[in-house]
Amino acid sequence: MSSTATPLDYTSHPGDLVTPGVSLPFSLVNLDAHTHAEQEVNSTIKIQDLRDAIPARCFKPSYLLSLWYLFRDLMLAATVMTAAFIYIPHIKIPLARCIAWAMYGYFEGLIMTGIWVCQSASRTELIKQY
Amino acid sequence: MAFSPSRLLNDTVGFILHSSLLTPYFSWKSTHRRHHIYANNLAKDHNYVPPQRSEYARSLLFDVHRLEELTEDSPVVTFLRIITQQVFGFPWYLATNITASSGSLNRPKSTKLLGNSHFLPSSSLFRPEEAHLVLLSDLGLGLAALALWYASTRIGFSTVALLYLQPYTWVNHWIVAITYLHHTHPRLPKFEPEAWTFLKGAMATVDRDFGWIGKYLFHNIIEFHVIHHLFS
Repeated sequence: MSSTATPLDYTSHPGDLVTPGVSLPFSLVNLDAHTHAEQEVNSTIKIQDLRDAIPARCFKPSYLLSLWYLFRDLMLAATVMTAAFIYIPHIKIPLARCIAWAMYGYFEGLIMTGIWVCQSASRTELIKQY
Repeated sequence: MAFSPSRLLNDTVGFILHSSLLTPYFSWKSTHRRHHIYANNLAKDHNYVPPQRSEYARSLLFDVHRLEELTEDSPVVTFLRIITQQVFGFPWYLATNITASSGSLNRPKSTKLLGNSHFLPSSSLFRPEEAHLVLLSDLGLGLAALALWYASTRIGFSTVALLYLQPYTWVNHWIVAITYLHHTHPRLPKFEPEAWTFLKGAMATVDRDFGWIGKYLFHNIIEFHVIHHLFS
């Protein structure tokens, strides 16, 4: 059961909060035809090993970079929205106006999704990997 | 380990931006946290927990042995399902916790309207200690809705619908498409609780390539989902 009595822990790594469900030795539970080597690897590699393989700088978020991306996305969204608001209603041909609104919707949707993503879901590694 | 090193800044920025995109911030943060803890665990995960074959067949009133034959070639049905899933999927999830396992609930499953939603403090998803967070999220949504209503009194409802609701529907589509494809692949396992570990669950997500949109507009979330699950 997920933590019932205490508030949700937002700082610990999720892997440290739960124990594996398996109570039998790994090889008895895993019934697919994995090779023995894979089973060895699977049961001995820990998250910390994976983390150690990545340079430490990749785990440090940067205020400047993150805020810049956010600012960039917000400016983009606002610009596109304002442009659509001002210019599209002036298009005379209904079909072209319709298509313009549809294209606006699509592009603004992409930018807004980027903003949505820019939240705590936007991890350091993602930004740094640029 | 996120947007910035400051938790307060993260929550503030997140709260404002998510609410303006009509997503309840703290409620979603809580369930999303639990999704990460129990990713791909069939009994506990919050998202995209598939029904067992026999369950699925029963829900369609077919005998399970005929399931393959009856559903294998129905492009129209598949297409309609995709449209429904993409247009309504995210609000549907927020309102009814669809595709979640029963182990994701903290209280018994409710039969009341919105009883399993992200919006009510009494929802089966949340513990009593989280009630104030849910209310805060709802406040954020309320303010956003108020702003939209006010805008529609100034520039007309149809303009607001075209300017905001249209991209908003696209955002819902992308959220569902991205997360659905991150957690679903014919060759990827979902684990029974006895066989599940955090590491196996995290490794059973999939990264996909989304070209320059993925890189420049979506901040690379599509291309790095396994890492996202492993390290946060």
